[in-house]
Amino acid sequence: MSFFKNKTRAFMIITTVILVMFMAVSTLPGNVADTTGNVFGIIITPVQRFLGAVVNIAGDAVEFVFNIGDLDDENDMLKEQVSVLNSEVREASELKRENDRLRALLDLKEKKPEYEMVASNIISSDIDNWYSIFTLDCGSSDGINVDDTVITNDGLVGYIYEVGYNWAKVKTIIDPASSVSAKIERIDTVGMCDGDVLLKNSNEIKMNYIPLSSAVVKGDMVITSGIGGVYPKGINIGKVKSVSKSSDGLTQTALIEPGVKFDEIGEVFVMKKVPLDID
Amino acid sequence: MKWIKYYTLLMIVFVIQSVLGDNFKIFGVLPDLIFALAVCVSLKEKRLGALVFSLSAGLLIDFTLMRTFGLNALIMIYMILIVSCVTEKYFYPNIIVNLVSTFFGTMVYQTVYLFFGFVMWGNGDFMSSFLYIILPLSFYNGLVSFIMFFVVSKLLKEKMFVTLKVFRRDSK
Repeated sequence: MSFFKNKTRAFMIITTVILVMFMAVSTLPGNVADTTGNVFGIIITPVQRFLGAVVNIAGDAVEFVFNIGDLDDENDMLKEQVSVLNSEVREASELKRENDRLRALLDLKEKKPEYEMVASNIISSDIDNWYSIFTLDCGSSDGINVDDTVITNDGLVGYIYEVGYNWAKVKTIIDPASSVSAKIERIDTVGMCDGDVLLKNSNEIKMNYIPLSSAVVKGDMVITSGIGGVYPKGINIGKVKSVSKSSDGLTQTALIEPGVKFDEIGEVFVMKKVPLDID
Repeated sequence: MKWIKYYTLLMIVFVIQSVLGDNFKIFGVLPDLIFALAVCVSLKEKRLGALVFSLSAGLLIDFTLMRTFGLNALIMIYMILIVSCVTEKYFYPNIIVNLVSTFFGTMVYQTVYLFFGFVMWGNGDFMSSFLYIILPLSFYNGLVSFIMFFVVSKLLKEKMFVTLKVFRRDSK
């Protein structure tokens, strides 16, 4: 211990004690760390939002440059076609995609009238290699609450696990600490979709506790079962990629490819529960 | 003034990591820029200052993750303490030592984090996680340490290659 200078030793002891206390307290709800985290989030969110916007603009610019190259090639091959027509076609396909997205959203909204959809942008994503969380640019000021479900038109993304004034954190279904009660739609079999440390990087999850008697096959669609109360029933999770016996041999485990491409999402919808008008 | 520069750089690195992180992934692995910076600062500065800096860096990660609050900060300060003590006694704080320190520091940091964050609670396969996440991450962070050393040297207006000697003569 001779190489510890006094100040360093005092710093290490005091800091260790405080941090260990923090670690113990952080397991309790509504603690000091939550409040401090909220203040930190309020400050950092505009910075992240700004940088996210800059990144998007830079990405669009790069894409634009590549598109110019493509259009030049196309113009060489098809001289009669004018660029106006090309942009119209592109615009039409973009409108179609938008239409499909809104139609899916409308369909979901009709199926689930008790929810209001709040569109939100992702302003920051994974900061380490162990968890899959991201931050949205909406928060308690938009009526977002903890445990609200987050989706895209491709399916389930995750749920809100922490909310600040102008930000909200989402724990995705590929997070190793995530668990979703799921159902294989075709055969009505219930199981648990769990995130995994290793599968996270390949954007996959596994569905555990499928009875051996269930005839699960590759390509079966998996949806939320509604059991557990966090996720509403019937939201698309993904499809079965492969099936194997679990390590204990008592059940089956399916590898699921989520409908949502977690590397590519930029905009999500938060399903905000609204009180229904009984009259 | 120097510390203002360090803390500003920390905030920039944090925002880059959190906003642009997905673009830097190699084989699904994200580099730990914040730890690489903390190691670099620990080689350039006195121990106590480096420890306070690493505590801030660790808390920044903890505030972002909001899981077991304090775990990152705790591991970070102990890792930086080890790096600082070992370097001070045995090595010259140059770019090679920075690379080696970041490589091994990342490996130990992430292994401890894997153990306390997952394995202890029965989640995750230790060996697979070590081979497929921690090992590539350590190599990746080793490479990142070059850039970090360059940035910090530029920030302090220091020469990048003052000496390439690794071992101190008086270390025995």
